[in-house]
Amino acid sequence: MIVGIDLGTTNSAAAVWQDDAPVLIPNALGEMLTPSAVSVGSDGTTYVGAAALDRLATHPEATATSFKRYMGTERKLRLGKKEWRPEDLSALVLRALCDDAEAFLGARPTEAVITVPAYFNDRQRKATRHAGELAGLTVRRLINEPTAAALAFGLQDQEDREPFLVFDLGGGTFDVSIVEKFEGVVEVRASAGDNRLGGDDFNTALAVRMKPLVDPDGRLEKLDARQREAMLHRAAETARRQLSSEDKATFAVVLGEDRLAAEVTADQFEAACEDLLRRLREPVVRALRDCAFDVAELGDIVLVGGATRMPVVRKAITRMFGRFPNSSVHPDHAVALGAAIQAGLLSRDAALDEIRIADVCPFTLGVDSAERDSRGVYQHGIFSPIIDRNTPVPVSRVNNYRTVQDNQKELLFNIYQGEAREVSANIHLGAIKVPVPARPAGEAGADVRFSYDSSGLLEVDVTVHETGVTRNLVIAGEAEVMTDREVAARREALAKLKFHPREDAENVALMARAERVYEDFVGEERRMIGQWITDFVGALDSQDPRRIADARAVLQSQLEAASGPSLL
Amino acid sequence: MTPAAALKRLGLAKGADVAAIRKAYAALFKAMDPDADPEGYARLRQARDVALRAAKLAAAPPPPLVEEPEAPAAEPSAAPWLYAAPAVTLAEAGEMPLLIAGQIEHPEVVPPAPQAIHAPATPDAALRALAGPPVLATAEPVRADVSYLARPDVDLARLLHDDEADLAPLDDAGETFAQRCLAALLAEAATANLTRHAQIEDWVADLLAETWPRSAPLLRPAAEAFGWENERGQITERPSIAWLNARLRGLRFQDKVAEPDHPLHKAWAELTRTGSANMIDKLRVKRADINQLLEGVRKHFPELEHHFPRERVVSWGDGAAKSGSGFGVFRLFGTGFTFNAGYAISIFVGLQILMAVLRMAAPDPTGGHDPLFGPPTTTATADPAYAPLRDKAVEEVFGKGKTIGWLREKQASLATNFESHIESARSAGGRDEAGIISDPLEYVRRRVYYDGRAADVQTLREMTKVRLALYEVARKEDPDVCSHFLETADLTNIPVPEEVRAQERALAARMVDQGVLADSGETVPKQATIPGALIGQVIKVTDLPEARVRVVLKGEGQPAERCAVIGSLLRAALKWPGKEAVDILRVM
Repeated sequence: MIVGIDLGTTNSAAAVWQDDAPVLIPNALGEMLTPSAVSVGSDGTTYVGAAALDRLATHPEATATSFKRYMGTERKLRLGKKEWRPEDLSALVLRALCDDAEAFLGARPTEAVITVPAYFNDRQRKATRHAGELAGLTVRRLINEPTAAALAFGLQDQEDREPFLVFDLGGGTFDVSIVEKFEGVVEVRASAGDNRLGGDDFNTALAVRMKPLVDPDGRLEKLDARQREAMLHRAAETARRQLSSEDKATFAVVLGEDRLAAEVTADQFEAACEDLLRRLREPVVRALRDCAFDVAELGDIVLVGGATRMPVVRKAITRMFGRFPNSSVHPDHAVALGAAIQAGLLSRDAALDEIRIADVCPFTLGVDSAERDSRGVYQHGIFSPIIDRNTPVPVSRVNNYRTVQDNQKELLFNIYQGEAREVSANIHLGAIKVPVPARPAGEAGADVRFSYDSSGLLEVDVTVHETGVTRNLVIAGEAEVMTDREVAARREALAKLKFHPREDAENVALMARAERVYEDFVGEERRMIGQWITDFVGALDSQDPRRIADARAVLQSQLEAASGPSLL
Repeated sequence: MTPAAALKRLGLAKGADVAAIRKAYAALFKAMDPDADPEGYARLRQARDVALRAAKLAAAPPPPLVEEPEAPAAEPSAAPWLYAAPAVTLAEAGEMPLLIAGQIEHPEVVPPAPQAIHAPATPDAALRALAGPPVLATAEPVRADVSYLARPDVDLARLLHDDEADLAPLDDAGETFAQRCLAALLAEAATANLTRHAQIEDWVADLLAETWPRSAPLLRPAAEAFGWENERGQITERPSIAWLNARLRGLRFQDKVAEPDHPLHKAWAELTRTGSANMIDKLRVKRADINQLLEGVRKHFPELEHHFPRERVVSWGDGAAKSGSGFGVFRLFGTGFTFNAGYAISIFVGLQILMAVLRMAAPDPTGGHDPLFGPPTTTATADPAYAPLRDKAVEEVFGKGKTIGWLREKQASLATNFESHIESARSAGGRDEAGIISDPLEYVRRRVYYDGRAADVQTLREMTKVRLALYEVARKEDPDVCSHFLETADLTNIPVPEEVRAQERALAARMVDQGVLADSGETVPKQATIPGALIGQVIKVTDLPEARVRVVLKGEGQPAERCAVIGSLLRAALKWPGKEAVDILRVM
C-alpha cells in the first residue's frame, strides 16, 4: 500500500487510494490535518501535531514549527537539550502520519508519495526524500504540490479542461503552475514560485506592524527571543484567522499578569502585507510568459493552500486575474488527495488506467563555463544551462564542453540551479571533476549529461571523449552524504524516542491546549482555567475511561467557551 | 522536426486537427514509460508540439495581408496604449485595443471617457477615472476642451516628450507633476489585472527609455514598483528593462559617489570639473583613485562618463585616458551584453528607418532618367572645338594626366554622360570654365557615391572615407548644406579644400580603372541591422538623446541633427569590426 503524504509547512495530511477514490486519513484526534509541529517534554517524551503546536506557547524553547522552511539547509534546531535536523523533525511528522494510517488501514504503509513545493530545489527534495527514509518509508515518488492539487482538481470529472492555473500559497512556500487536461492526460505546462513566501510571512508582517502598538515600552524585548517570536507569531495567527471572517481583530499577547492588546482592521492588515501581496505577481507573470499563454486563455484559477483563505490574498488574486478564483477544491486537502492519486497511479490501479500525468522541471539547471567576450578575453563563471526551466520531465540532456587552455589537465564542472546569467547568483548543487588528456586548448573535452527524473532529482554524468573516462554524480549536499548504515542508525534513534501511546493522544492534546489557554488569560479567568485543569488531571488519575471521556468533553467545551475553537 | 514528420510520429495523416493530435498523443503517451525512455518521451512531446502548432496555424483564418501599420503621425514614439481609451475597452473584450493609437491622428481631440471630464487634478481622482465604471463603446465622444490632468498617461508622455526643449531636465514643478502622474499609473498597475499590469509596465519602460535622461527622476519609483531589479542579470531579462537597470545602477553610483565620505568622492569631484587639471589639482587627488574611478565607470556605468569633460580626463595623462579600453568611439565595444542589449529596441526601429533614409537618399540610380543624374545621354555629339575643355574637365575630376580618351577607353558610358553634362552646361551659356566643369564634377561625385555603395568592400570603405571628408566640408558650411549633401551627394558651389579634392580624384580614377563607375546593376541592400552599441556611440558622439536619434533615423528631424547623426553613424560604422558595418555603409 502506497500512502500519499502532504508534508506541509504548517499542516500535514495523508491520504490513500481506496475503492477507486482518494481518501483522507484521520489522525488520532479525528482531524484530517496534523500540525507540522514537534515538541519535546522535559522527560524526553516527544509530542507531534496539535499537542506540540499548543506547547509552542508554553514551551517555546522545546518546540519547533515551520521546520520545512529549513529543509535542505545545514541549520539545526534546538529542542530542549538536543539539536535536530529539519529532516529528523519532518521524519517524526511522517511517522505520526504513518501511525494514523496504520490505525486507519490496519496495516502499516511502507511506501509513500510525498509532495514538495514545485519550487523546492534539488537539495530540499533530497532532504525530503531523506526524511521519508528516516521515517521507515520507501519514497516512491516526490510530486510537486501544485501538480498534486491539479490532479485532484482535474480528476473531479472526466471532462477535458481549458488550461487552468493552480495558485498554491501554503504556510511557507508559494507555487504557481499552469496545467492542461485532455484525454486523461494532466499536463503541467509551466511552474514558477517563491520558496520563501507563505502564510508565515503574513504573520510576521502583521506582528511587525502590531508589536510597537501593543508593546510601546519594549517589555517584550526582555523575553527570550524564541519565546517572544512564538508569542507574537501566535497572536498574529489568531488575529489573521479572525480577519478571515471579520473586519477587525484583536492582536493580543499575555505577558505575566498583563494582557497587551490592540485592534487591527482588515485595511491595516492589507497595508502591512502590501509587499508580500506584490510578490505574488511575479511568479504568475513568469509562468504565463514561459508557456506563452495569455491570461485570457486560462480557464479556472484554482486556489490551494491554507493561506489562500485570507481575504486579502483572494482580493489580490481577483484583481490580478480580473475574475473570481475557483475554490471547488479544499485548499488544505487537495494536495494530499492528489498525492494519493499519484500513489494509485504508481500501484497501477485499474481505475486510473486512463490517467497520466506530465510535469516539468521548474528551474534551469546547468554548469559554470568560460566564454570569450568581444575582446577575446575569457569571462569565467558564466552559467551554461543544460536543462532549461519548464522542460517536461523526465528529461535527459547532454552538452559538450571543451578545454580553454593548452595542456589543461582536468575539467571541473560546478553544477548550478537558477536563472541568473552569472553562476554566483545561482544555487550551487555540487561539483564533478574529470581528468582530460593534455592537448591544445579546445581539443579535449567532455560530454555532460543531466538526467532529471520524475521526482525532480538530478543525476549528472560526465564522459571524456578522448579517453572514455566517466564520472557520475547524484547530487547530494555534504551533510546528506550518509552511508546506509548511518541512515539505519539514525532511523533507529528516532524510532526509540518515547511517544505517548496513540490512544492517549486526545488527552495529551487537550492538556497541552488547556495549558496554552491558561497562559492566554490573566487574573480571575486564569485561576478558573487552572481549576478546570486540576479537575481534568484528577479524572486522568482515576484511570477510569468513562470518567476521563466525560471530563474531556467538559474541559473541551469550557475551553471553547473561554477562547473559541482550537486553532485547527 | 517538420510537421509532416511530427504527424508521422503520431501515426496521423496530413490534415489532422487539434483534437486528433491530442488523442493520438495521449494514446502514445499512455503506452510508454517516460521514466524508462526520457528521450523517446522528449521526441513524442516535440512531435505533438510541432503538429499542434501546424494544426492551429492551418485552422486559424489567414492573417490579413496588411503592411506593417504606419506609426501614428502625431507622436511616432508614443506607445499604443497611450491614447487608448481608459480601462473601458479592456473590461469587455479582455484584450487590449493595441492599435488604437494609430487611428487617432490628433491627440488634442482624444475623446476621453465622459466621467473623466470633471475629474479633479489629483492622481487619486485620475486613477478613479481610469478605473471607473465601464462606459458603453457607443457613448458619445465628448470633444470639449478637456483638462488632461485626468489622464496621467497622456500628461506624462507630453511632459517627457518635449521635442522643442531637447529633453532638457525637468524643472521642479514639472518633476513634481511627472511624479504625480507616474504615481497614479503605478497605483493603477498595482491593483490592475495582469494584462493591464503588463501593458502599463511596458508602456512606462518604453517611455522612460525613450525620454532618457529627462525621465531619470522617474526611474527609481517605476523600477521599484515593477520589481525591475529582480529581473536583473536573469537570462530572460527583457532588453528594455536591462537598459533601464543599467541606468538605475548608474544613478545609484552617482548618488553614492556624491557623498563626501565615499572613497572616490574626491576623484569624482575632480574629474567632473571643466578645464585641465593643474599641478595643485593633481596633488590634491590621488592618481590611483582617478584611475580606479575611470576604470570603474567605464566598465560598469559607461553612460556616466559624459560627466567627465574630456579635457579634464586627458589632462590627467595618458595613463588615465588609456586605463579603460580606449577612449571615445571604441570604448563602448566591450561593455558587455547588458549595455548592448539595451539598444535592441532601437535596432528594430533602425531597420525601418534605414529604409526611409534610403528611399529619400537613393532614387534608383539605374534609371538613367533620374533628375539627379542629369540630362539624357543620347543626344550628345561632342563638338571637337571643345576637346581641350573636356580634357581639362577630366583632369579636374580624375586627376593629372587623365584625358577624355582614357575615360572613353575605360568606361564609354560614363564618358558619354560626362561629355553631355559639359555640353549642356556650356550651351546654356553664362558660365566660366570652372562653372562648366562643376557640372560633370557633381555628376561624377554622385556616381562615385551611388556606385561605390554597390562596389567591393575596399572601394566602399574608401568611398565612405571620401564622403566623410566632404561631409566635414559641408558641415562647416551649414546644417542645411550638410543634410542635403548626405542625402544627395550634392555640394554644388561649395569650395572643397585641395587635399580632399585630391582624395576624391584618386578614388574616382581608381573606380574608373576598375570599371565600376557605371550602372553596374548590382543591387544594394535595402536595409541593415544597426548593432545597439553603434547607436550607443552615435548617442555618445552627438550628445543627442536616443529619442532624437530615432527620429533622425526615421528620416525626419532637424537638418543639424540629421547631419550629426548620419555623419557619426557613418564614422562609427567605418570603425566597427562586425559584419553589420558593410551593410550599414551600403544602405546609408
